[in-house]
Amino acid sequence: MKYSSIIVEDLQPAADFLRRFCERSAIVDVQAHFLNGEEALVYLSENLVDLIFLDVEMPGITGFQLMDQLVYQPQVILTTSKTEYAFSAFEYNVTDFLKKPFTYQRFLEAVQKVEVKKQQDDSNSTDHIFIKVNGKLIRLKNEDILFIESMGDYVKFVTADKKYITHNTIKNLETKVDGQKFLKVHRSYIVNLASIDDIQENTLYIRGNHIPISKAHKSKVMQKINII
Amino acid sequence: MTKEEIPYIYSGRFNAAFLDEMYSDDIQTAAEIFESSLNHLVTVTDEADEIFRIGDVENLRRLFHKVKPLYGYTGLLKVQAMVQHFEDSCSDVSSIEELKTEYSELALLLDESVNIVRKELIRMKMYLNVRA
Repeated sequence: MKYSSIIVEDLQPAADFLRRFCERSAIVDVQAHFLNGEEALVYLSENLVDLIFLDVEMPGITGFQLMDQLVYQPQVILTTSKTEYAFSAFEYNVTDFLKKPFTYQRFLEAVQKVEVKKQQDDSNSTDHIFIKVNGKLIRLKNEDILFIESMGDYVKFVTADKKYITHNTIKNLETKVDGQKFLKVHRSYIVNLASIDDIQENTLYIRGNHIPISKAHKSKVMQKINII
Repeated sequence: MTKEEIPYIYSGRFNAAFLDEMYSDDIQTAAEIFESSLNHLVTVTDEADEIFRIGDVENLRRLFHKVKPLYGYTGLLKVQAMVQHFEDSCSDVSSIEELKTEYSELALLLDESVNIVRKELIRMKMYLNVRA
């Protein structure tokens, strides 16, 4: 698993140093670096990342103020040279607190904490997902999603009253949606198991929509549904 | 021992154990971080002098808080500790005048630090050239 991340740090050498460690680890991918919190917030309003390396004292808003304004909750590793921020970091429930300058070993320990927290979050599985539509991140409750349909490089999220098209693939989404509630039934479809109205041979029906079940997925579908 | 296996030895002013822990034997990365840090370090005392002249203690504290890790990235841990001490002093005083003596001593030390980082960077580059 590779974690997508951004660095928010107004001191260029500190960002260079961190980027080097990320490259060396080969498990953290740095998508962007921002010299202030405001620019980072704009990016985060349009892009999903797993992890933020966040400085505290910067021109403009502080790292803590940035966390207050996030529309979703990526993991955060605070990077600062002031230990006095440790208590606030604890209150914000950040994944780790790295005091600059830190060693590669200490950096790896922090990334391992990200991994552990990710596993915990996955096992607690959230009741919603965020999708990016027209440059905005939209929160969709799992229970509102009827099914997801592939459209080449895009997918369509179908709810009872709306359809959302976003740049993604069924293959990628298969690992992102809650596996207890959603099931891939065809290379082009993931369905919400709770939304299925009926199944006739190799087709399932959701609110009047016909969804094919492929041979490869048929047995899994039959295992998942509650047949008496 | 081949030329690729010759280890780099940091000069005596640097905390070699700390630098080894940060960069291992990756002198290429160390040189890049030294260079990137040096680009900032050369401006620190000019910037600090200007803020000191205006008498803005909080901005002086902020500046030293910000640049403090650079002395760590370059293995100058004693200098980093003195910058930390000065940063703390900025929080404790009521006027810039109280910082005058400590600031003068620190500014001299920081100027000297720029020179020794610059010299070390030249040594690193020579080492990398020899190995190339």
